Amino acid sequence: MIWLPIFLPVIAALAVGFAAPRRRLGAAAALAMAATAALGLWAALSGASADLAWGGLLQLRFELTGAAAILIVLVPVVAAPVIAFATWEYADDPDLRRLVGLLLAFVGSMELLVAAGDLVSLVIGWELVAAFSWALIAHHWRAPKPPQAALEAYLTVRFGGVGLFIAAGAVFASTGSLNYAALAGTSRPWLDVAAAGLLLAAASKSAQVPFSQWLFSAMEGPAPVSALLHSATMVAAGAYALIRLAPFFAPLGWFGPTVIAIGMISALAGGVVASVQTDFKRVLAGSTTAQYGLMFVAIGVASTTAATAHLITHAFFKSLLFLGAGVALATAGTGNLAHLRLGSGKRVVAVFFGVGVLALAAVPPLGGAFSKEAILAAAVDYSPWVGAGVFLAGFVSAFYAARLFTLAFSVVGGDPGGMGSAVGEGQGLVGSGGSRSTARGLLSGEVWSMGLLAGISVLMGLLRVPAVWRRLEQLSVAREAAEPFWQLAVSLLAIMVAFTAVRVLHRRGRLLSLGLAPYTQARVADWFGAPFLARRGIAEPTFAFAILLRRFDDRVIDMGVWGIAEPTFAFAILLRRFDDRVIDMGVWGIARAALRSAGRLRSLDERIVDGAVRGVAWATMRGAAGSRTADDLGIDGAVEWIARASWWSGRQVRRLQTGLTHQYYVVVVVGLVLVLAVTAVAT
Amino acid sequence: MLTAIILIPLLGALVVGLLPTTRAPLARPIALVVSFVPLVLTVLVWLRFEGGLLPEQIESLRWIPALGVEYKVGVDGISLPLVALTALLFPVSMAYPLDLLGRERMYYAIFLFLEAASFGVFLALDLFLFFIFWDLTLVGMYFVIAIWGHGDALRSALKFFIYTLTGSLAMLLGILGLYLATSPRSFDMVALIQNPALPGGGLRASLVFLGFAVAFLIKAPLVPFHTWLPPAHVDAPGPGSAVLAGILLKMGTYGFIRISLLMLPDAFRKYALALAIVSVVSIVYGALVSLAQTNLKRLIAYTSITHMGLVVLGIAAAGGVLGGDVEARRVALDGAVVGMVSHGLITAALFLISGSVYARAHTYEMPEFGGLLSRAPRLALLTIVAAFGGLGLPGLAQFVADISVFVGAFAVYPVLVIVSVAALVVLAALFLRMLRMMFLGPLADRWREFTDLDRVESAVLVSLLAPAVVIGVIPAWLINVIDATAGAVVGRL
Repeated sequence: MIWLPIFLPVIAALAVGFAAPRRRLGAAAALAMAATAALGLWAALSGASADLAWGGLLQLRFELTGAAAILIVLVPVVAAPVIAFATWEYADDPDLRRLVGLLLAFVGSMELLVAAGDLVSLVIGWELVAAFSWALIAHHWRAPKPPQAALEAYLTVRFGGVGLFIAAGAVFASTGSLNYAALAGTSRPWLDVAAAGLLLAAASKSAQVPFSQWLFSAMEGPAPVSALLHSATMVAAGAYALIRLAPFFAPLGWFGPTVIAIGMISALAGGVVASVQTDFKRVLAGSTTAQYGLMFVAIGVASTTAATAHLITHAFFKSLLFLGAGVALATAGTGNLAHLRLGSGKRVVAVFFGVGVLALAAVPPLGGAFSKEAILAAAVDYSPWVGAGVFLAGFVSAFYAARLFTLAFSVVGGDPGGMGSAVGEGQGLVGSGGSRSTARGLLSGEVWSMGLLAGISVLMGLLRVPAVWRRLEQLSVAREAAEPFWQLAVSLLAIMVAFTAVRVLHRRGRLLSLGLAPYTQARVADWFGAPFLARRGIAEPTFAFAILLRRFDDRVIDMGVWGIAEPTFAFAILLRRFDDRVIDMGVWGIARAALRSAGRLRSLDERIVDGAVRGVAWATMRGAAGSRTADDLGIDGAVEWIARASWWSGRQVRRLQTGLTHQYYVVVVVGLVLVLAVTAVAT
Repeated sequence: MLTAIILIPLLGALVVGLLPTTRAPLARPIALVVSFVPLVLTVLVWLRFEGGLLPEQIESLRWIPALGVEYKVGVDGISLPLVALTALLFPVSMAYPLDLLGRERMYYAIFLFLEAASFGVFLALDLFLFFIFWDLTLVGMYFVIAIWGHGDALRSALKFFIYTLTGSLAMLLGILGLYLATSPRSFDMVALIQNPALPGGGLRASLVFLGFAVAFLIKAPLVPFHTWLPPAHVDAPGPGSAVLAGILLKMGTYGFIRISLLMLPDAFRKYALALAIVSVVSIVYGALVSLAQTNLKRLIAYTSITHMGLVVLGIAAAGGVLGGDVEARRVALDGAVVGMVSHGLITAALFLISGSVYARAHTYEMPEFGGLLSRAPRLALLTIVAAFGGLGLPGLAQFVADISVFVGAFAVYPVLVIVSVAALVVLAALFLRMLRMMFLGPLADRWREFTDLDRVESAVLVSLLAPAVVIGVIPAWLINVIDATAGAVVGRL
C-alpha cells in the first residue's frame, strides 16, 4: 500500500527509459505522476504504514504521519506539469528519454524520503535524491561546465548529509532504535548531537546560509530540473525533515533559536541576492533560499503548520516561476535580465508568470500570502524582533518579485544595457542550454503546464478557509497565535511600497543595477563572494592538503619502508662481500694454495723428472747414433752436427717463450740450479 | 562439501597446468567450468547454514598428531559470506578478457591455485592449515603480478611479496605464541574460540595480539602499512587487481575477527581503541590521498584503504567495551562483514573497469581522458554505478556497510565516527571527479576510436554489480547470516 506511491515512479522511470514511445513520453509521465498522487492520497487517508526487516537489528519503517501525508501527494502533483513541460521543451533533445526517466526516479526517491519513518530510510531517500539531482544537473554533460556544477552541488549537499549519519548514530546509541518515535526517548547529550546533525543536513539541503551557493551551481541543469528541485523535491527535503522532527527537539533550549537564526539570515541574505541578481534563474534561486529561510523561522518558533503551508504554496508558485524561466530561456535565448524583453508577444506567459510573482510577493488572496502571514503571526508572537525580521524579509521578497517581473516582461526597457549587461556576462544561461541560442515561439504544452500550476497557486488561497487550515494544524504543530487584525494591513502596505519602489527605479532606469557599482553588484549577487571564499577557503586547501598527503605518502611513508628495506639490503650486500672475501677466501685460500702447489709439483714432474728421463733417453740414443755416424762423417759430420745442434737449441729456446709465468719460473729455477751447480763444480 | 570447494579448483589447476601444448585452447573453458563449481557448492552450504558462535559443517582429518595439527575446515557467519564472495569473484575475474602473453595454461592454473588457497584461508579451522593457505595465496598472487603485470611489475610483485611475507612471519610468531599456551598442545581454532588460550590480556597475550595485528594490518592494509598496495595494484593486470583487492585484502580483516577478536578477546578489548584510531586515520588518510591521485588505479587503491579502515573500525567497535551497547556493537560487526563483501564486489568491478580502460588506452591517467560517455556508454554507465557504489549511495551494498558501521560504532567511539564520516564527503568528491574527468565534458579527438565494452566484459561487470545492488536493496538475507554469528560473538564478549 504505502509502497505504491514510492515504486510507481520508479517503475515509470524504467518504463520510460526502455519502453515508452518517445512521442507519448509527456502523457505517460504525467499520467504516472497523477496515478502516484492518487495512490499517495489513498495511502495517506488509509493511514498505511509498513515495517521492513533490513537484517540483523535494523528495521526500516515507512509511515505517512504529519506533513508526510501532504507531501506524498504534493510531490507528484507538482512533478506532473513540470515533467510534461520538459517533454515539450526538450522535444528535440536526443537525451529526452534519459531526462524524463531521471526526473521520474527523482520523484520516486523524494516519495521514499517523505514516507520514511526512521532515520535510515531518511538517509536512503536523502542520498538518492541528491544522486539523481547530480545526474539531472549534469544533463548537458558534453559541455565542460555542467559536470563540474553538478559535482559542486552534490558535494555541498553531501557535506550536510553526513549529519544524518551522525544523528542516526546518536539516536541508536541512546535508544537502540532508529525510528522517528525513538527520538522522544533519546537522552540529553545524544539528543543534542542528533539535533545538530539533522540541522546541518537540513540547512545544506534547503540551501540555507552558508550552503546557499549550491543552488547557483544547480542552475546548469535544464529549467524543468530547477523547477522540480526548488519546489517539491531536494530543497524541500530539508525543511520537510525539520518540520517532521523538530518537535522532538523542543526540550533543547538552543535548537529553536539556532533554527530561527539560520532561517532569518538566509531569508534576508537570499532576499538581497535575489534583489541584485541580473540572471533570471539566479533571482529565483536567491528567492528559494529566502523563502526556505522563512520556513526555518516558522519551524524555529514552533509553528510547523505555518512552515508546512508555506512549503506547499511555495512549491506551486516556484515551479511555475521556473517554468517561466524555461520559456524565457528558450524563446529569448538568454536568461540575462539586461537583454530579456519578453514583452507583449508572450502575454499568456506574462499572465501566468505574474500569478507566480504575486504569490511570491505574498499578495492576497493568493496562497503564498496566507502562508507568509501565518509565519509572520507566529514570529511576532514568539518575539517582536523575529517578527520584524520576517516582516523585512517579506518586504524584500515583494521587491525582488516585482523587479524580476518588470525586468523580464517590460516591453520597453527603462534600463539601458549598461552596468547590468556587464554584470550579467558569464552568468547567462545560454551556456547551459548549449544548442538553444536561437529564439523560438511558444509551445502549447508549455502554456498548459504553466496554466495548471498558476491555477493551483490561485486555488491555494483556500488555505485561508478555516476548515482547511484546521486540517493542516492536525497534521503538525501550530503555535497558538491569533493573527493581529492590523498585520495584514501593514503587510499590504509594505507590498505596495515595494511595488512603487520598483516602478520608480524602473522609470529612472536603475532597476537592473540598483545604482550599485558593477563589481559590488556582481559580488553581492554571487552570495557576497561566498563561492569564492568556499573555493579559496575549503575546496582548494583540502585539495592542496590531499596533494601534500599524497607526496607524504609517496616519499615519507614509503620511504620508511624503503628505509627498512634498503639498509637491510645494504647489510645483505655487505654480508655477501664478507662471505665472498673473508670466509670464502679462507677456504679458497687453502684450496688455491693446495692446487697451486699441486700444479707446481705437476710441472716439476713433467719438466724435470720426465724431462730428465727423456733427456737421458735422448742422450743415449743420440750417443749411440753419434758413435755410429762419427766414423762415417768424421770431421765433416762434426761440423754438420754443430750446425744442427745450434738450430735445435734455437728452436727450444723459442718454445720456452710461452708466456706462462710458471714455465719461466721453471726455466729460471733450472738455470739457477745449473749456474749454482757449475759454480760449485768450478770451485 | 567444504573440502570439495578447496580441492576442485586445486585439481583443476593441476589439470590445466599439465595440459599438452596442443590442447592449450582448452585451458580457458576447463578453468571457467571448474571455477564455477565452488559457487554452486557454496550455494548449497549457504542453504544448510544455521549460524551460531562456533563454526559448523566441520570436516576434519588427522594430519600430524604429534604436533596437534589437523586438517579441519568449517564455516560460520563471518566466513560464509567471504567464501561466497571468493566463489563469485574468481570465475568472474578469470572470465575477464586479458592478453595472456601466450601463457594461458599457466595463467588459469595459477588462478585456480589461488582460488583454492583463498578458500582454504577462509575455511581453515586449524591455525597451521590457516598459515599454510595464507602463504600460498602470496605465492599465487606474486606470479600473477610478476608475469602478467605491466610497468615495473617485477619490482611491485617483489615488494608485495616481501612486505606481506614479513607480515606472515609476525603471524607465525603469534601462532606459536598461541600454540604454546594451549594444553594439550593444539592448533585447533574451534577450541581456541571456545576457550581463549590467553585470558586476561597480559604481556604474553599482548605480544601475541601484536604479532597478529601487524600481519593483519599489513594485509588489510591500514596506514602506515599500506605502501605495498598502490604499486601492486597499478602494475597488476585487471583481474589480478580485482582478486587482490576483492579477496586477499579481506584476509586481513577476516583475521582480525577470526583470530584477534574471537581468540584473544581480552587483549582485543585492551587495544581496541588503538585499533579504532588506526582505522579512522586510514579512513580519512586513504580518502584524502586518493583525492590527490591522477592515476585511476592508484585512486581506487587508496579508496580501498578507506573502505578497509571502515571495516576495521566496525570490528574495533564490536570488541571495544565490556558489556553494554551490545546492540550497537552487533550492528557494527554486521556492518564490518557487509563492508568486506561490498568492497569485494564494487572495488573488483572498478579494477576490472580500469583494466578495460588500460587495454584500450594504455594509460591510467585520468586527465588524459574526457567525454568517453559518448563513445562508450556501457562502460560509462557501469563505472557510474560502481563509483556511486564506492561513495556509498543507498541502494548499493557499500551504503549498508557504511550506515551499519557508523551507527553501530557511534555508541562506542562517537568522536572517531564524527571524524570518519567526513571521509564520505571526500569519497564523493574523488569518485565524481573521476567520472567527470573520464566520462563527461567534451570528447578529445584522441579517443574518437575508443571502443565500448564487449559482451564478456559487460556480463562480468554486471555479475559483480548486480549482487551489490541486491545487497543494497534487500540486505536481510546477507545480514541475517552474518548476524547469526556476529550476534553470538558480541553477546559473549
